[in-house]
Amino acid sequence: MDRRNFIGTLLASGVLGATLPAARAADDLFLAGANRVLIVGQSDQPYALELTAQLGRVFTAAGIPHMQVVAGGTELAQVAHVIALLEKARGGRVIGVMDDAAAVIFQELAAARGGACVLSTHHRFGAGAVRHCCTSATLEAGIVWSEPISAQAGRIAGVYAGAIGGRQRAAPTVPATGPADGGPASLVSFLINT
Amino acid sequence: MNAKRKTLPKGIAAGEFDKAIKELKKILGNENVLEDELRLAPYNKIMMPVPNDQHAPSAAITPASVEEIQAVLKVLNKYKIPVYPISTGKNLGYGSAAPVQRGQIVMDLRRMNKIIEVDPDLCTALVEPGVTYQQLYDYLQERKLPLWFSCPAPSAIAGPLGNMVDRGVGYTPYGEHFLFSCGMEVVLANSEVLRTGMGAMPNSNTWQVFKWGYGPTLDGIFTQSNYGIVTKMGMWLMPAPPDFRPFCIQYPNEADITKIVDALRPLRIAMVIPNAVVIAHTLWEAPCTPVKRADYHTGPGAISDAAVSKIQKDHNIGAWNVYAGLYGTKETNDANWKIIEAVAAGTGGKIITEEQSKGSQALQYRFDLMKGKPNLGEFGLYNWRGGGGSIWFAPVSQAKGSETLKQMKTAKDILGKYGFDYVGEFIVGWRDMHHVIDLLFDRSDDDQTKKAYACYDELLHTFAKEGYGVYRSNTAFAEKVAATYGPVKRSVEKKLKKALDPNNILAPGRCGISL
Repeated sequence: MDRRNFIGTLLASGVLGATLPAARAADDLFLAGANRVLIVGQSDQPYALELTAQLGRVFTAAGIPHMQVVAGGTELAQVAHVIALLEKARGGRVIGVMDDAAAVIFQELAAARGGACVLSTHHRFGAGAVRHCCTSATLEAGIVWSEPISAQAGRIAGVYAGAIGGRQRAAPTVPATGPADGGPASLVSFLINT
Repeated sequence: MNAKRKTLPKGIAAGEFDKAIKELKKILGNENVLEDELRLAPYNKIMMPVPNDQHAPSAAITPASVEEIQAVLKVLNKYKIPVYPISTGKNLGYGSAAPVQRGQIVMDLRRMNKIIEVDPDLCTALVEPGVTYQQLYDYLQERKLPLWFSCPAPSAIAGPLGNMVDRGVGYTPYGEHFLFSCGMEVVLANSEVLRTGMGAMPNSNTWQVFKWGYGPTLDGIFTQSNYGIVTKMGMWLMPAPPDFRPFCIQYPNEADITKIVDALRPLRIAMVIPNAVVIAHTLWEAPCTPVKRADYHTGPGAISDAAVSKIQKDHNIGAWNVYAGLYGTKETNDANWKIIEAVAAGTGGKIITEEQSKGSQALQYRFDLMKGKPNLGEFGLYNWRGGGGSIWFAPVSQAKGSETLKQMKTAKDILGKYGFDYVGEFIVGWRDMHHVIDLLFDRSDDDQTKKAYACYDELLHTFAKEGYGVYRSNTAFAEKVAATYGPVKRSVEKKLKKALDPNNILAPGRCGISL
C-alpha cells in the first residue's frame, strides 16, 4: 500500500480519528524523542500486560524514552491498526508482546516496510513457570532459560533494555528446566528496528 | 572483505563476493544492497523445522525496475553468484522470504509495486511483483470498480504475482490462480526480457485477454521454477455478481467426508457451485474461532478424539465444515439454493447462512475470502500450538470420497505418531482436491522441531508410495519433493535450466531444479 492509500485506510477505519487531544500531545512528545521505543502489549493476554508494564518500569529506570500502548488481539489482526502502530514507531524501535498469530502479522508487516526484527523471544507457560527462548540475528544459537512466573518478567525486560542500550546482555545462567510440551499458554515478544 | 560477513554463496570466495557487492551498489545505490546481519534478519525468518542457518542469505538487494534487474543479472553472471527472487516474501509455511539455499542473495522485488493497469471493461489487471492483495483491493474500492479477485488466506500481506508463480489457490470462482493469469513479463538469466502469449508481439493490445499467443505456451515453465524473474503479470478479475450467497454446511462425523465429497463433486463440476469448495476439519476451525488448545489438552502428544468432539460440542463446530457460495442473480441463486438445501438434507448436514453466521469470526473470514476480501483471519492457526513452527503438507487427491478418507486417516496416523494434531482441510478444485495440512509445532523446542522434520518426511514418502504427490512444497523439502516425481521430469527440467540459465544463478535448488 502506498502512503496515500495507507492514510485513506486509516481515516476510513477511524484509527487516526480516534486519537484524543491529550494522547496526541503525548504522541507529539514521543515522536520528537530520539532513540525512542514504542511498547505494544496485547490487552487480552495477562502476561503480555505484565511484561509491557515491566518493560516500562525498566526503561524508565534506565532513562530510555518510551511509550506504552495496548491493543486487543482483534485489533492486532487488522492491517490498518498494525500499520498505524508501525507508523507511530517510524524511525525508532518497537517492542511487541503478543500471541503467536499477532506476532507473525506484526513482524511481517514491519518487514514489508523495511523493519528488521532483531530480537525475538518465545515464552511458554507451565505450572508456575515460564520458559523463555530468545533468538537474535547476532546470536549463533538461541538462549533458553526458565524462571518462576512470580519473577515478574524482570530478566526478560532486562534483556530488551540491554539490546536497546546497544549492549546484548549476557546469556542468563539459569538452566532450561522449562515446562513440558503442551504448556498451557504461549506468547512472543520481539524488538524491531523500524 | 567485509569483516562482518558471516555467510557466502557456496563456492564463492569472499574477495569475489565483495567485488560483486561493490558493483551491485553502483547499480542500485548503497541503500538498496543490504549486508548488515540485522537488516538481513527478515530474510532469514522461517517457520520450517530446520536451522535458520540453512537458509541464511549472504545479502539482499531491492531493485526498482526491470532495467536494474537486467544490470544486476549481468554482474551475477560475471561472478556466478546465485540470487533468490521474492515478490512480497510472504510464502509463510513454505519458506517465507528466505533463500532456498544458504548464501544466495535475496532479490526483494517489493519496490516494484505498481498496479500498471486495470481495465474495467475487460476485467483485467496488470501488476508488478510487489503489489499486495490489500493494495489491489484498496485500488478497486477507491475507484468504485465492481470487480473481485481471488486471494489466498494470508491475503492482506501477500501478493497476486508471487502467489500465482507458486501456483497458489484462492476461494472465489477464479480460485485456481495460474489458470486466471494472462500474460507474464519475465527477465531471463541473460537479461533478455520475454513477454509471454500475445505480449511477445510489438504493439499488441491483447496481452491480458488471450493467453496462448502462437507456438508453444511458455507461461507454465516460469511457475514453481527458476527459469526467469517474473516482473509483470496479467490477471483476470471477476465482475462482482449481483447476488452472492455464501454458506457453510456442518457435518458431525469425521467419516462424513466420504458422502460430502461425493455429493458436492457433481455440483462443482457442473458449476452449480462455481468456487473452490473448502471442507475444513474441526481443528482448522477451532484456532480461528478462537478456541485455545490448552483448554482441552495440556499434556504431550496429539490431542485426543474425545477432546476434539468436546470442542465441536462446546463451540458449535462441525467435524467437517463445508464452505462454498452461489454467485449469480437472485433468480439463479434462488434456484440453485434449492439444490444446496436438498444436498445438505440428504447428507445430514446443517446449513449456516451468512445471516445466521453473524458474530462468528471463523465463518466471517471464510465468507470474506469467498468474495476476495483480504483478511488475516487464518493466522489464528499459529496460536494453536504456539512457538512459531508451521509447514504445509499439501498432497493432491481425486475428488472422490473414498480417496479423501484414506488420505485423512493416513495423515492423522502419521501426525499422531509424532505427537502432532491433524489440522487439515480439503480445497476442491474441479475434479481434484488440494488436501492442505498445517503441521504446527513449537519451533523453540528442539525435540518438537526434530519430530516435525521427521513427520513431514514420513508424510511425504508414505503418500508418494501411494501415488499421491504434493502440489507445492516448502523450500527445505524441495529436493525431496522433486524426487518423488521421477527422473525423466527432473532430467527435462535440468536441460531447460542449462539452456536458460547456464551459470545456474537463478535460485538454484528451487523446486529441486539446479545444475
